[in-house]
Amino acid sequence: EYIAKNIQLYKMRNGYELSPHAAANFTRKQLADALRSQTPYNVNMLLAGHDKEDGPSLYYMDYLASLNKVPFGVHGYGGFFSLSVMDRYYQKDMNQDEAMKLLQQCIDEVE
Amino acid sequence: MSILAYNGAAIIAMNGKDCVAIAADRRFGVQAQTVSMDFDKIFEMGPHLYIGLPGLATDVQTVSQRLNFRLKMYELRENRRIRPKTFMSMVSNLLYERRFGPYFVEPVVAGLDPKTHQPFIASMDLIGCPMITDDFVVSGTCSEQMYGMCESLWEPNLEPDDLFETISQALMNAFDRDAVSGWGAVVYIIEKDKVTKKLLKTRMD
Repeated sequence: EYIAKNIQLYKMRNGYELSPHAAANFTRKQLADALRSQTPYNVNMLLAGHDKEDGPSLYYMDYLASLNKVPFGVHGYGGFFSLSVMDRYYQKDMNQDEAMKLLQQCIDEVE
Repeated sequence: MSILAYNGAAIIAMNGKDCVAIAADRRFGVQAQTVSMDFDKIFEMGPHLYIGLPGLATDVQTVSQRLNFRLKMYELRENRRIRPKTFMSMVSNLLYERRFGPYFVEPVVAGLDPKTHQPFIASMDLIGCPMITDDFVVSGTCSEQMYGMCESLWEPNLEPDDLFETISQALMNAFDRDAVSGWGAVVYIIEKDKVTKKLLKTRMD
């Protein structure tokens, strides 16, 4: 919630919304600063957004605040299975239906 | 597992005839699981100055961002390009500031002096102890393997093309023997008038 509110603040102050890349780096900095303070956060995340210039982007962030732009990402034990499925079937130019089918395949794999 | 081996990395820098080369693997992983194969660990700090940062990925990103800031302030104040040796001291200072809560990176600096074009390589430990050598420096999870490869393959005064071959072979064969590094490699060859970046085709396992 802290991040969401800060992003809205930026939009109000500057008159335009933060790009996903900027939002991801902002979040990473918050997480990294908290890491070496008395109150580190313990949260892994996948941050996704759409930008007019770069198109859609997905960012993988782990609880230690390392940030990576990825075509597909998973956190947790399910990842060991889902990553293999996605490595095999993912294409850069998939449309929404194909992507949903692939996600469903991953979920089936984990089950 | 050691914190420095949490994400896995391998970096080598080598000295040649009027040139330096720096090479790194491209894996970003979380212990056993590989997350992406395009994680850059070598950062350009100047037209002929590069730093390689192996170690914990979050600190790789934090240190490179902090260093960039300090470097830009230096360039604004002094109105000139930084020398590699001075840059090495800047990195060392940044790391020692955190002596009792360190950044988990062991940097490698490689570059040419902006005026004399003298080649320069150095490496540091995680609290900033610098080590300047004339032959090669290695850092990362497979450093023992890299030391072995470099010691046998390196010779003084290699031309840029030969240096490229040598550093590539040393890096690739070393990280092939390490589970947490590899998955692609990038080599930068820094000469007086140009910098060449080459991506190596490696075993993707």
